[in-house]
Order: sequence, then structure tokens, then C-alpha cells
Amino acid sequence: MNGHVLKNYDQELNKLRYRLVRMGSLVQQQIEMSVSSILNSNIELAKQVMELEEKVDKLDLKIDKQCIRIIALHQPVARDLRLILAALQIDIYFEIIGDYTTEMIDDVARTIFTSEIINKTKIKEMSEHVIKMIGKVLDSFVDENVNLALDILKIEEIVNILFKDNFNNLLSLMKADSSNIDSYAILLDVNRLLDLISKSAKTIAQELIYIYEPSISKHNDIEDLSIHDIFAEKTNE
Amino acid sequence: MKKTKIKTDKLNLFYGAKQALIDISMEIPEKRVTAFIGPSGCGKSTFLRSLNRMNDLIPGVKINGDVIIDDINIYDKNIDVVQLRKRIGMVFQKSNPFPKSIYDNIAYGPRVNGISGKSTLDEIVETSLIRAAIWDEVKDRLKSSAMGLSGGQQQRLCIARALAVNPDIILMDEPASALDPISTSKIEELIHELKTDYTIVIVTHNMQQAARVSDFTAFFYIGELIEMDKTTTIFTNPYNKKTEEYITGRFG
Repeated sequence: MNGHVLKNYDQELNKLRYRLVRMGSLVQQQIEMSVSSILNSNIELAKQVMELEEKVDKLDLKIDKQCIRIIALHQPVARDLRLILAALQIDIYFEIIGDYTTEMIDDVARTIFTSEIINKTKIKEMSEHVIKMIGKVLDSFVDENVNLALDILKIEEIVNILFKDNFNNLLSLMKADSSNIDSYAILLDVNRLLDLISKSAKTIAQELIYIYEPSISKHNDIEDLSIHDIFAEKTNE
Repeated sequence: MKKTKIKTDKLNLFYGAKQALIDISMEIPEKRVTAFIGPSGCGKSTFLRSLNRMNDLIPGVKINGDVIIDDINIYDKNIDVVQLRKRIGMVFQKSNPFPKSIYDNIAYGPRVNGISGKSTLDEIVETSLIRAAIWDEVKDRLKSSAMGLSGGQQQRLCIARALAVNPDIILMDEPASALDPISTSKIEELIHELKTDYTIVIVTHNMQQAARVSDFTAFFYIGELIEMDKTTTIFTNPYNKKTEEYITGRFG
């Protein structure tokens, strides 16, 4: 789409996009680092997660203020309005994801995980999917690509299955192997937090769909639509 | 859905060889505010003026297609244009009171229509000024010249003058574009109140104004009607890319 007649309005919107992408990539780093920190008992990485958290919080405030400024000065409509509304939501969920990662490192170095214990679960596989989801969030946002946002909904279903598998598996392991109960309890918590991050990413994906293809979510709550319905609808357009 | 008050079907208008309106088909609902937006020269004012045959007076203008108001094609040969215009009030960008008293400005139309009783005229003047939300400001100086009123007051006086002949449609061509923000708000508030009794069509260059006052918005571009929908839809999720580009300020 062409630029605005008002150049400073364009600059404001571009700056907002840049800040959201920056916030998203910091959050993606936080997820990678917090999972690695907890599984490898790496306190240094945990500190870096906290440092990133400060940056994420600052960006959260800046994005809020910028959205308010754009609304007050430019009265955005249509696609621009949807971008601002979505940005305010996406910003909230990125910030929440950042909080989940700091919660994850609360128990860093409380116990040493052996690779044998980790490999009994699908935590690593789950974390890879979750990191991929945030990557797709960023790509979808930058490329204005609704299909990538729809991919995220698909991955969320996979993560949800992994979450349930891990949960059941860890409960069995706790019953059978009480000597490692601390490790399993922490993994149970990591499992829960990764699932919450995945759900937040799904909400962001829905916001992105709202920006780029509002007709998809307009007539129906997207929660009520299966992935197949959404793809069928896209194909029929 | 409200009843359709004005319906146009493939309306084309030519200024000499230049085509200014191309196949405009539109339904304007009764007792609602419909706004026309679009860049300069897109045909929105020309279209508005076609709705009460004001373009007839311009030399070299050719019109084909239908404009149907309450099931009557206003371009039929048998139509009495004077009677037609009695039903359609018009308010222009620049307020144009007659150089007469406030009272005479309002009473002018009814007098032309044969009303002469003082008490009837008094009542019409008062009701029209009340409806146009200017009565309290002028009731003590009805015999003063209308030219002494402020720009915003003059514009509301012109609206009162239009209401005095009891029309059912009011056409407004950028009615607030020459006014300050407070006077503009008063006109917008007035439009909002009048739509309970009148079908209002407004041309505006101010898109926020279209968003604030209208129920439906039509976007014109180079003589064509690109899109018409509920105002909320046009300003949140327009169907046509061109509409989106225009209302988000990407051209114009």
C-alpha cells in the first residue's frame, strides 16, 4: 500500500511496527534463554532473561504511549485503526509472555537435570514449537501475511497435545520415581508455562488475522472456528 | 432496514463532452444521514445537485438515468421542478441569508407558497428556528438583519429557512467547511437531531465529520461510486482497497 500523504504519520506507524517487532524478538530470546537456563541450571542466562525483561517492559510503555499519541493526533481509521487496536493487544501479550519466562527461571539451579530425565518428556520439542510460533508471529506481522498467522493456530494445537502428553507422563514419572520428584515438579511447571506462552501466541495470531483479514474473524468468534473452517474459508474466497 | 427514500439507477451526467458521473446506482435510506466523500472533482457535489435537478440550469449539461424519489422519477417530463424543490431543502457551503430580517428570511419560502396569515407565519418562523437550534439566540431580535449574525448562526438560519417549507429531504453541500469547530459541532448536533424527521444527504471533505454524523457513507472517485456501506463499516473495514487508501489518507 502507498504511503500516507502525511509523512510524519507514516513515520509514526513505521516506528510502531518496528517497536512491536523489537519487543517480539526480545520475547523470543527470553523464551529460548529461560528454557535453556532452567534445563542447564545456567544462572548467567537467567540473569540475561531478567535484563531483557526490563527492555521488554520499557517497550511496552513506549508502545502504549505511541498508540495513544497516534489516536489523538491522527484519528486512524480502517487498516490503520486495526493496526493500532491490534498493537495495543499484541503489546499486552508480549509483555505477559515476558512475565512467563521470568516465572520459569524462578527455580533455576534448584535441581540439576540429567539429559535422561529431560529426554523422558517432550519439553524440548514443545519449546522449539513455541519459539517457532513467536518467529511466525514476527514474520506474519512484518510481511502482512495472514497464512503465517494461520500456521500459528495450527502449531498451537500441536503444542496443546504435547502439553497434555507431558502432563500425564510427568505425573506417572513422579509416582514411579520419587527420588527425582523435584525435577519432575519443575518440568511440570515449565510445561505449564510453555503452554501458556503458546496460548498467548495464538491470541496474537488472532489479532494479526484481524488486522490483515478482518472478514475471517468478523462473522464469528475465531475460537469457534476450527483450523479447517478457516482454511476452507480462505480457499473459497 | 429503513425504507429507501431516493434511488438512482445508472445516472450519468456530462458537462459537454466530459462525463462527470458514471452509472451511479444508489439507494439512500429514509430518515438517515448519508454522507458523500471523495477527493475534489470526484463528482460527489454534482451527484448531490442531481438529486434536486439543480444541474438542469447549467448550460451544456446532459443527464441520463433515473433518480426516483418516493417512487417518482424526478427527471420525468411532467415533473414540476418548483414543487420538487419544495420537498428538498438545500444548504450550501457558504451561508447565503437574504439581506432581510431574520424573520423575513424564514417566512420567505412559506410566503412564496401562498401562506400569508401572520399567526401562521409566526408559528412557522418559531418552529423552524427552534428545529434549527437557533431560536434562543435570535428570538429577541427577529426583526434585525440576518447579515448581522455570525457565520455559524447564518448557516443554522439557512437550515431553518430550508425547514420552513416543510421538506422531507435536506441536501447539504459541505455545510460546515467554512465554520469554526464550535459552530461545526452545533451543525453536526443539529444534523443528528434532524434525522429523526428528515432524510439528510451531506457532502463533506472532512472525513471525521462523515464518520461522526452519518449512518451511511458513499465514496466517489473520478465520477464513479466506488463503495457505499454503513459508516462504521467504511471507517473500520471497507471492502474496496481504493476506499481504504482514501480514508486512511494515502491519496487525495
